[in-house]
Amino acid sequence: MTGQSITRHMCLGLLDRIVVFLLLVVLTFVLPRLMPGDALDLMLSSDMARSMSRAETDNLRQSMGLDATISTQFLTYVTNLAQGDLGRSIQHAAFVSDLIGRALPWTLLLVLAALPVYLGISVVIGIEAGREPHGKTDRAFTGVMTLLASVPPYSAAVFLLLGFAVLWPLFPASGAEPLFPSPDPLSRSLAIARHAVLPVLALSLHEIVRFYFLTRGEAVGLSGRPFVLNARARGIGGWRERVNYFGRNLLATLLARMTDSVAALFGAVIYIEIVFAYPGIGLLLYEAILSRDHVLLQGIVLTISALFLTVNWVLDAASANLAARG
Amino acid sequence: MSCSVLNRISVAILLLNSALYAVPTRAQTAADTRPLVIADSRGDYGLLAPFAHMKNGPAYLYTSYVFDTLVAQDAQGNLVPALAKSWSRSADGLSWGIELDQRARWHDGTPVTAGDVAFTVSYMAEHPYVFASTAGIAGAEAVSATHLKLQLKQSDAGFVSGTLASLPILPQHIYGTISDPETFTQKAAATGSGPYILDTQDKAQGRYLLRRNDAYYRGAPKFPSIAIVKMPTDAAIVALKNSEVDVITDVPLDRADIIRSAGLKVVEAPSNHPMRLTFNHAGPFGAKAARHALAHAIDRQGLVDVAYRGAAVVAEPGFFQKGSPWRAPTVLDGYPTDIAKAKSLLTGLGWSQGEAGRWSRSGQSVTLRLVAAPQAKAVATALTDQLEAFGLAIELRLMEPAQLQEQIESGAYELALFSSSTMGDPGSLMRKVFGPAFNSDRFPDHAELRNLLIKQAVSTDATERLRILEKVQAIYAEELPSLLLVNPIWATAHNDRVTPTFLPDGVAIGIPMAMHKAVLLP
Repeated sequence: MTGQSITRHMCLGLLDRIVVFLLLVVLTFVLPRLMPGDALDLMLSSDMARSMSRAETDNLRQSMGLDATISTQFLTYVTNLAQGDLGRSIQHAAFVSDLIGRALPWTLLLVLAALPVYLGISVVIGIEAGREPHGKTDRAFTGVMTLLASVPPYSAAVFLLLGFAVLWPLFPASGAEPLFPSPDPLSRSLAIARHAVLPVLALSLHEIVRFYFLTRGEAVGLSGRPFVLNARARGIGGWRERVNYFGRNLLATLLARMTDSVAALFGAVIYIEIVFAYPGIGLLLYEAILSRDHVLLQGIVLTISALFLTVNWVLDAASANLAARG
Repeated sequence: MSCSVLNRISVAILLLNSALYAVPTRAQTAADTRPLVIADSRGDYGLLAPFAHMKNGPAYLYTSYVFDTLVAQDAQGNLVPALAKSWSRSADGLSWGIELDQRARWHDGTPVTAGDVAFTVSYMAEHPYVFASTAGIAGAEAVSATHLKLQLKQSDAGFVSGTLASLPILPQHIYGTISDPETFTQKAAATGSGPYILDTQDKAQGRYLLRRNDAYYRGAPKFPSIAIVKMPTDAAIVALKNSEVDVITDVPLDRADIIRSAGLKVVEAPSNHPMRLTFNHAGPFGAKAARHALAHAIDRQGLVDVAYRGAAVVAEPGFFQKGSPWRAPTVLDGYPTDIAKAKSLLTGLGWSQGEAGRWSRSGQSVTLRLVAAPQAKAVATALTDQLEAFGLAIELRLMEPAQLQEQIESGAYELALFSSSTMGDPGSLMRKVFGPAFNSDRFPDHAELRNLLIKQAVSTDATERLRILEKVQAIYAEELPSLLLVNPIWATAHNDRVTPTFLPDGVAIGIPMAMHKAVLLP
């Protein structure tokens, strides 16, 4: 691929993702409105809420912007969105962007901490197993990974919670920080790290298996290739063989798989945050569903989508660049 | 791997452990300076201000720590002075004179005046507040800084317990310039006159920190600060055992023994928010005998055992539940399970049972559409099993509130099941029985019941009102506008620092929670 065609590929990729995002904007607007009732009906559904007169509900509906026609509502929605205003959550009495802004860093902490953990472990043991197919190491690692693959990811999170937070309470069972965080930044960071250990581990386990089998499969293929056989014949082994002959050749495949992995991670982080009551975007999304907070729900969906499409585009561009280098 | 390598790894793990455990926790600090920590599984309730909190009971209750009402409840639920030092009513019940406590101050130090109360009345007429209405007030006049005159449109028996005890008073100097209070979510919106001041709110973690209002006019509150924290129940139980948490507001009853065995306390009471089976009175259950038949066909103790595993009691049919101050001590038979009687009642209406035991009506096999809220899933399933066993084909559909509302309003159902409050002043009973709302009984006109409900709502004599309500209770149990099935038990766990109590008629608007404001006061 030439430099010009890479630029073209990237531009087309960006265009694709913008179209997908615009479709999502329309969908997130239309879907909640297809459901019966509106935000005011939901707000007044508590059995302790008093009976309101028609004039009172009309007044509230107007102040909530629910009395406008659907086209006006859509126009307002898109205009606000273009200005970065994702709307207001009535339930939380806050701007959606504010709620997401507070929750997203916790989710990113989990995802970014899990990334090196699962990539590191799965690539190292994947290469180790694949460089000598059907050897002792391969059989042992593949056996363990097959076992792990059969454990549903949410069960792994629950097992980790029970094992290391309840039965053997090495780590906290819930939250991202102690109830009263220490004012000392170092102690606070340590406490945050301690709270993140189990969720990060649970999130990593989810991906370790996938990346292990990918790495091992590729490594098995590479181990029969002439340049590897030749290198071994020349006495090249150890880290040099693993890094230069296997690692570098796996980079493009791993990067390509990463695009898919980011989506899987954001999917997995939802239930991991629920299990560990971790105050990230997954828990916020779950609570928005439970409380039928449609405005927050559409804000989160759009934010995650935008994030995912951007990461996906960057990784895609990086893969294209690598492919161009051959 | 050699032993020495394993030893090194073990030492490293131990070192890491000790490093992690070295993080100081508040449990290690002195207990008296520690905030009172209230764990709540539900989390963020919005800003603790009247228009900005979530529209549910816990949000109203926590907001009441920050905003005072004119009249309050003591630890037994009796009405006691709050912002209003005293109040008096004219003989016709239309005029009220209210004397404010001149010591009351807003959190910013400004005195609370009669002008603030008059402002609140007019402001809430313009900006409806979901939990209290000023619609019955014709006018509010601040005679002086501490004296207020209120004129009602008609006599209101529940004016003190219903309106004065539930209407949060707003500061005019803050809300006077706010035209859209639902979007007013700056911290100033939470400037109240209550015993606690909102210090910080962490929306991501669902945590509130409130500090004591040292200048509180009813005496300094017990705890220097209060933390309301979101925590899953099981984690909260562990934290309660470790003295990191002092109260868990909502504990499933099956965990009560575990908590008690750790030397901690659990206070429990029927929620008086029973599961209510309402009827489509335009359908086959328009006939009273059909409603009676259904009541006799249902084994309500069976529902308690199966759906709640004992964490509920059988509900009473006369609307008010045991413990309610409005309930007359009349013993109602409560429709004991009697299949033979149920069958005879239905047969008397022309229903017939086929060979397979299925009921038919006018030659058509009967299939009843039962719609229920997802929260009622367990009891709806158990009820379906019982009615199917009785020979009634049931089509059970669980739906979200908005869909449930639409379904009921369209009339496309025979039976509906959801939780419903029987607490709070009975002034609102008229709308709960005859009102058009989906969660009303939507009972067709019943002249005697309607007249009694109107009479009790405007009665100026408390004893007479109770007598009327006794008749209401008897007619309700006989007519069954809806059938109250089971009354779930709610529980709150706590340690010795605090003594939560459930109030007989709930908090203010009828909230069945034990951590009411009186618990925090001297």
